[in-house]
Amino acid sequence: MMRFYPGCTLSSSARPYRRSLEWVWQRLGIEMKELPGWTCCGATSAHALNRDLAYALPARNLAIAQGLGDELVVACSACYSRLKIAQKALENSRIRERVMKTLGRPLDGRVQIKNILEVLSEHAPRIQKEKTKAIEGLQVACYYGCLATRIPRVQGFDDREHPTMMERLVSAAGATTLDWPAKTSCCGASFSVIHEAIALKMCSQILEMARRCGADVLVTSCPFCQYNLDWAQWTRSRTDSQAPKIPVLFITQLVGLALGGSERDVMLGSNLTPHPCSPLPLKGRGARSEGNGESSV
Amino acid sequence: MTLIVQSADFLKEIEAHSGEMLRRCFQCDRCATGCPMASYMQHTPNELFRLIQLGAKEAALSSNSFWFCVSCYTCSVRCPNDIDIAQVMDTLRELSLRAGFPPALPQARDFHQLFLDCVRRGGRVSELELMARYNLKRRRPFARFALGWELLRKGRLELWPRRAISLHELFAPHPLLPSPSEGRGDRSEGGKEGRGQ
Repeated sequence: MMRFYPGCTLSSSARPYRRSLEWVWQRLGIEMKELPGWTCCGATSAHALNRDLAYALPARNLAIAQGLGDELVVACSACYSRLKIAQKALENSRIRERVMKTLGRPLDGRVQIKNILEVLSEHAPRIQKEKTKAIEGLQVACYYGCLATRIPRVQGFDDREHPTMMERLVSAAGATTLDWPAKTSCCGASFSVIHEAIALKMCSQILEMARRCGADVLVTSCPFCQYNLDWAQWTRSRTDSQAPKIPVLFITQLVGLALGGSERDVMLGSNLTPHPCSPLPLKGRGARSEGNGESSV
Repeated sequence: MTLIVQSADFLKEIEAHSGEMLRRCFQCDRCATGCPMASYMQHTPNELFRLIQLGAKEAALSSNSFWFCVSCYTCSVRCPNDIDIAQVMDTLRELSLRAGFPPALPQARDFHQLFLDCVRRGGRVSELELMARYNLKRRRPFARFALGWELLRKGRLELWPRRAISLHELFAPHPLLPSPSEGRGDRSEGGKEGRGQ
């Protein structure tokens, strides 16, 4: 059975991600159990200050997972990246010895770390067949951010510079995907806390690019990307209520909706930006696909 | 500054800590070209690497560049010499703090230390606790109040986080991590850094 590593954000700012992916799993009959006793991967902070901790924190989770099954599924891009980087580093015997000494547990490096997009992609044909809500005509910009695909020296699940796995999922769900150039641009990550002006600028560039390419909605698989893009629009709307807005959804929210989930099922109301940016127009869109696409944005 | 090789000691120190072969850098500038933060940096990654190759320790460790590195790994996956540049930035940040250079973004250091303290005590990070402690540390207790309220209202903040387990055993004594007995050991620096922003 696959084990799921949720990471810290999924019970807090990315709760809609967790809610929607659990709904989708249930709907598709994917069996998944939370990794017992999991702890934080250390995210950016561990590798920013302490090299050894940056390996020990993910390794602790790998040590738990290796006794429980072969596959560890990770939804958060930062967790995925840290776990993959640590696993790669642990191939070095000197690092492995050091980490095992700290942990007091053996590490065999056998766990297969899988991104949520990989798992969902395996079910793309079913999503295509079983979708019940028409979302045709919805122009979707898939946004990957940095950490899901750019992992040094690690063969990832998709192309580093031009990933397409999310596009395949969105197409399976029945929406139209956009070719746009900012899909792996950086949202600023923790700069939304430590230096807001820089993060706002980075998010604005991504949102502006999506808007210019005609996106009705952005989807992402990264909790930080979703939060930052949502936050940036919310922050801007406080000084400029007329600023254009684009809803930013988790990929599992869009897939959940297509599979017949209600707004509640996928926690659609959790977007920070109120009505004009609310993805609610998603609902009626299929029914009146001839309507003009501008109205919802 | 004299740009002649003083000694290879610093280069070796950085290479040993990061595990990356910095001597391979031949200034192709690809890291700087793709870096989303380059415009905020005193030295682009390749310039920084040149300083390190030349043994200019002081100049490299006092640079603001690694504080503005957002760890997006664009440079790391594009480097034609297979240098994990973001990893070197981590090394420089760690060694710079250890050597006592004031951080260009003290708030970033505070954020990371508080984050890790949450992990040490509870195994997981509560965003609410982290932000509250960060606000107190930065002496802006009501910063982002409206945002916090909005997140709470939308069900995106966890009021009573479930803690997994404390991880004290993983946190070996380390000069950059706040130790449980001493509390915040870095308070004395706070005043002079505050002006740097």
